[in-house]
Amino acid sequence: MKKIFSVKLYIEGLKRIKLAGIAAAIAVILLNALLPLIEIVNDHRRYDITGVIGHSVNSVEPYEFLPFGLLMLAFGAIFAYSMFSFLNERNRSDFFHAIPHKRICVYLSFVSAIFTWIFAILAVSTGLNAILYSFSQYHSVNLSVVLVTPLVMLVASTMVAAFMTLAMTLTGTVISNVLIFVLVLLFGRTVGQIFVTALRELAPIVKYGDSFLNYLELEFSLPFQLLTGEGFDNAPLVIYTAVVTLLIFAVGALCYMRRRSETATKSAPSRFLQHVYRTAISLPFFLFIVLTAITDGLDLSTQLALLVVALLVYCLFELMTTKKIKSLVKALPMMVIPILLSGIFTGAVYLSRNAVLNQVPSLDEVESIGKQESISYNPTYRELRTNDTFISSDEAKELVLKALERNVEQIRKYGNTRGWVVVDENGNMKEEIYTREILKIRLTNGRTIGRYLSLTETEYETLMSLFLESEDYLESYLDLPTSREIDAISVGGGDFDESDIKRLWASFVQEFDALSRTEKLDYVEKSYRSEEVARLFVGGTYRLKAFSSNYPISYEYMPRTSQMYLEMAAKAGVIQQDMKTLEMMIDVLSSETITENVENHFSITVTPLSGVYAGKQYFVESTKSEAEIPREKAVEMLEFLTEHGEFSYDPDETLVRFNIQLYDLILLDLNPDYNVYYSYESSFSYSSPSVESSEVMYAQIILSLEEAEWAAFWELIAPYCYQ
Amino acid sequence: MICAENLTMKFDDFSALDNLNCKIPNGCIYGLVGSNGAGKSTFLRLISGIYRPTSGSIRFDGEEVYENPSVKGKIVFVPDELYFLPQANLMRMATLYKSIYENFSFERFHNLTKTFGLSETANIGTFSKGMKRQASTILALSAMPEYLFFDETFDGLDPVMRNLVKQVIYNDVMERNTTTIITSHSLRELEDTCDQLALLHKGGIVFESDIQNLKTQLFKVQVAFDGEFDRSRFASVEILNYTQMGSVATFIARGEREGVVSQIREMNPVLLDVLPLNLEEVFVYEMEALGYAFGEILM
Repeated sequence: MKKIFSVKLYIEGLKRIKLAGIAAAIAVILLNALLPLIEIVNDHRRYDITGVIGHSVNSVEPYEFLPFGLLMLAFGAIFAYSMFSFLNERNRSDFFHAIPHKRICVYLSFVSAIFTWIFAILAVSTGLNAILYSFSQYHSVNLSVVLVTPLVMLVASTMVAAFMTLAMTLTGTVISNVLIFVLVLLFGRTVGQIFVTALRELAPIVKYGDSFLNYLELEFSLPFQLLTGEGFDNAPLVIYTAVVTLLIFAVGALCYMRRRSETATKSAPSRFLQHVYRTAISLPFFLFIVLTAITDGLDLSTQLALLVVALLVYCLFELMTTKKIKSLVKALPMMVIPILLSGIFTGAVYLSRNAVLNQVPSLDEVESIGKQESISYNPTYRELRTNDTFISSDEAKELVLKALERNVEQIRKYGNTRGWVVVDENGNMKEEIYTREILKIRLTNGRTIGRYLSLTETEYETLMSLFLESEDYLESYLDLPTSREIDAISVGGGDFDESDIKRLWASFVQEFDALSRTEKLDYVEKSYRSEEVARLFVGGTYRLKAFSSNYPISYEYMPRTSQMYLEMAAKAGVIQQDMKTLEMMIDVLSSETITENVENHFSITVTPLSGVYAGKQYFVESTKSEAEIPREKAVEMLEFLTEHGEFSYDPDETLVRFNIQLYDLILLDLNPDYNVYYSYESSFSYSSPSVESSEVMYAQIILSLEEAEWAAFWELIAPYCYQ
Repeated sequence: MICAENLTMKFDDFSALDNLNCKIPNGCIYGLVGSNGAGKSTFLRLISGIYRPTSGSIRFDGEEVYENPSVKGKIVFVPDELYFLPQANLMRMATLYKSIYENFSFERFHNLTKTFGLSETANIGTFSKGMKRQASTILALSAMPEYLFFDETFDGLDPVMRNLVKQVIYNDVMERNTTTIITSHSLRELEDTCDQLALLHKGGIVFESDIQNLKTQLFKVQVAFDGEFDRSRFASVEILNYTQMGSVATFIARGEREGVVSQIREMNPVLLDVLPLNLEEVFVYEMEALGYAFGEILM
């Protein structure tokens, strides 16, 4: 350890970037801490529209837990720059090259110091925020969020630091530090993205599904994903980033050991490397010309303009880094290199296209077929399970291979076709394309290729039925997540004890498992059920991939669970709060302070959850009903609900859900055809720019009504109802 | 002993040092003089292990210096362009040096700081050029090195400080047998400091000698005779430079002074004067003997 690491140098390293570290600590820790503090202050006003304190507990998402932790991405680069800035000046560079330590020792000691600062700041911020959130009644932070969020940010920030460190070892001026940092950070991903985009344009069958191409994309970059609020649950990406970070630090170590002190004040250690940098920086701009030609076709003016830009970048880089016209003049003939490379790149794209289109395996070469359900970043449990399930039916294989052949033929014949029709040999439309699906073809040699194929309705229906005939697939399709796979469960509509939620889930699972296959299929096929009593939200991890699923508690299929939910809701006071909201609505509607130019907007959506009419919805809305709803009628409807409804459900009665809304409108130019979207807050989004709203009251209650009561209520709303 | 063999250093197409050979014994104060761009700083950076030579080798008692912490730990290099941590004071720099050099002595540091009259807590950025050089020298000496290299360090020091620095260096050499290399473009500066001197020109050492030897082995003789005479009269004396105006001849002789003087006395001259040479004159004549125009080298 003595030879490759020095504690004293490490401590010196910590001191070297002390200023930057303190600035980062202040920015990140304090700004992050502000959020929970603001939430704690605002908590008492949350959901206070009705005068009732809201009681929902929000689970803090990773991107909400330490949002200013993303600043560490920038500070990672700043730390690395500050630490190795001595490489930019002769006297400083000479000093550190003269000290009696091996270069690898200096490098590792300083890099460790950079890592320590990043780690310490994130750790302190995490601890502080976790403590602060513990004082919030309406926010909870899962332990996995506390552990994973800073870890992911640490990996991403360290990666950025690694790239900056590498750039510092490869250059000797500030301008070239920055330019080469950008180059090493983005070059691979940029060229990869251009390649992938071009290939997908030329061979749309790999637009989705080919996981190898996904790895080349700009989006497969942890810093990029973190900036869009994603990436926290992408374990493969985090591991990949960590590996790349170590690799870059290793390359940086080699470069540092080989670096000559006299490189300080020079843009590159040698003339050859200066050529390489210049070519690499300008290459993406030349490649962009190729990309636009592929995606948008040949347009001389566009491509010429892009060429001018590329040449400008080429020349500007040389001027900015060397500050010598003479160097630029010498570099001009070398411009042919990026042009040549662009030509090679174009060739590579077309070769890859041909390889993709030629890859049509025979039936014997195919072992099984899979289907990728989703390309979203937030897959459901079902999507993850089914994505991993393959079927070996010969019929399915033949169908998919035939579809693949047809798709390839169309691409070859019509170029980059975006058509939605299947044509026959005469070019006449034969059948419309119904859908495009990502299908996975597992070959007998162990490889799996993914293809985005257009399918006719017949093909799709046949394929789906083949999948559902497979026991394995069906199991994946219908399975619920196991307790090991689940990280968190919540229920919409209220603040419930964790033990109650667990009981609810257990009941749900039991009732679901007891359903017949047909019933399960019917349940799963419908993602939205109007007759749902409530909805269970389940998050977890399946084979390192995060999933987020929601399961409606349908009275029809889960009566016991529905009843359990209603009892829970009553116990948690959910219904009582909504009842109070109804009483306030009655007060507002009865108030004499309402002036003439103010019209109350009132609506009720009635959904029976049980009985013959389960799932049907009936709408009462003052702006849409044919007959005007007098205020006293609205009051009568509300009073009926407050007086007649029971909270506990009797199976002989009708369970009904009521969604009631009331808000004041100051009318300027209300067009009744406009849809207005409501929210719980006093401000809301609307599509009619001439409408303002000052207050919104909303309540959702589920009541149990006797038959006579239901009939009486129906009589009350019938004249104003529309479906 | 520091031993440089066929030392070559190239920067792109430019050759800063070209097959340089020299041996610097332990405990000596070695002066290296040369014009700007001769390669003095490059040489020091090579032997400090900052640069890796393009070819050739530098060894300290048989050990290579480049990437060798055990050798580099014995060396402190004070460059022409000094480096201090931003906003640091002497104490902070001492802490840095302590973390780098195991033998760094705070006791010596405090003594030297007091001797030179510098503040340990004042921002070094407020120091004058000379004070910064003093500060560098203090830090270097406090590291208790076995090898001390100064690159034009005495520039910017007033005569009093210069003498003080020299005295401190002498003490180190005497007490700890420190080997010191000092570069300068001024012979006068090195004359009364160094034991050995070398002249560096265009990447190579063109002349190297012990200073005492230089001063005693070369001397100017002014002699006059009755009657005519020429240079051949002095065939037994090694003459570097001979001029004659009428009956008075002036020449630079090399050799043991007493011997040469008694040889000339035997010739019964009318006039015989022996004049000492300063170092610059010694170098000029030695270089002329080697075929160099010294004025072109150092001007």
